[in-house]
Amino acid sequence: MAASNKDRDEELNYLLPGYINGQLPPEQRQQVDAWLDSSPQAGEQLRSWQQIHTALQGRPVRTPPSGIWLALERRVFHNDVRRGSSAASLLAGFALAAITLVLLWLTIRPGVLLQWTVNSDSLAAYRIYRAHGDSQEFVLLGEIDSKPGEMRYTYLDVLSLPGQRYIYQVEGVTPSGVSIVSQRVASQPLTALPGQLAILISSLVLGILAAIMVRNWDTARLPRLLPT
Amino acid sequence: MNQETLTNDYKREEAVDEVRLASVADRELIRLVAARSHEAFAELYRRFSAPLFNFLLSLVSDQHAAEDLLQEVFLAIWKGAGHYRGAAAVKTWLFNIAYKQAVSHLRRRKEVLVDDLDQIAAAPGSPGLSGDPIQNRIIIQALERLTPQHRAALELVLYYKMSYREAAEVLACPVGTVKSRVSYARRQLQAMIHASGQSAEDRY
Repeated sequence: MAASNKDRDEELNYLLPGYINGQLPPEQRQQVDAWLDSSPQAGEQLRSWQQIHTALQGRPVRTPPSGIWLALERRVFHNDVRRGSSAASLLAGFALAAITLVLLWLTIRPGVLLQWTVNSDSLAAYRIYRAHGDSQEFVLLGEIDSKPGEMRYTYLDVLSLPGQRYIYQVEGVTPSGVSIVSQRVASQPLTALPGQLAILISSLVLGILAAIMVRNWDTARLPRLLPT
Repeated sequence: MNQETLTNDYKREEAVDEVRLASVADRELIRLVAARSHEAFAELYRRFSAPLFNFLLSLVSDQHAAEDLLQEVFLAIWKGAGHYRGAAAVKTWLFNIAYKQAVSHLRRRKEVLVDDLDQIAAAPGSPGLSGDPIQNRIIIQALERLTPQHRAALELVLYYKMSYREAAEVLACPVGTVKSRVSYARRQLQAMIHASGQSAEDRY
């Protein structure tokens, strides 16, 4: 019996903060009222809670400095403005990277350079063929017309992919259409790679820089929404 | 239409928004924040920045840290408003974010907070229960000596008028734990008041 009374007192004691704050439903409030009427210890408990409640209520309520909102406004809304221009910055970066890539590729022309010399200028043209790896399927890459007095010719294969091994063959064609086929030469897999990589990385870096610049360009502030 | 007219139009629209938002319920406000409404975010800040700031200040006992944490709390609200599902009251949800930020800050600071109230009881300038303002000061000093967990539980229930269930949601712990923390905190504070009264009697 004593134990159950103790449990009941403990449960009612837990209700006292809500009682003080006026948050209890009517039924529980009546229970607490009845307890307070019947038990002197209950009154002591209530006074103890009230002392603490009064002390807490008596504390000065601090207002956060306005600088917090200003900083928050900058971080939240400024980021939104920047997020709005991300598509434009992406487009600008991509465009500059593409233009740079094309210009550098056309200027530097990374690829496999073929060179050959001839003993006479009796041939009318030279046809350049390429086969992939060890296959025998030669594909015509291009044709160069012979030039009077020219003994040295070059052809640049800019379409070679890095890491691939190619076999080249040059075919000399006489004015009457007879073909004279050269020896086959093989290119190394990484022959064109350094030049190609340099161009790709340069284009990429310029593109990223352009994207960052455009992204930071639009820093227009939104209207101030300072709470009062 | 010149710039001045545009500005005046904007100010009128903003004023209308503020009046409209002032009457919007908390849950609707969070929904608008999730939809990236700057005005709703500003209104939310108007409503909750002061109670959250005071709650943080009470937990970390450091003005600058509380200011930084308040900023982080609202930044988290801005980013996470879309995750609010309405299971808890908005006030509970916000206080939970603030509590987690404060606990994380205290862990980083690695501050050891003790429950020992004897130092305050023996401290000079605690003349006992001679008047309410002094007694209040003793209670507040004693409160600051509690662990953040006990202090938070007591304040949420007694000062911020939350039920034990709401306080448990803020503190992310069972209701029974909140009850025992509140009860422990009250007993400690009561012991402090008693000890200071006793020391005053001894002196006179």
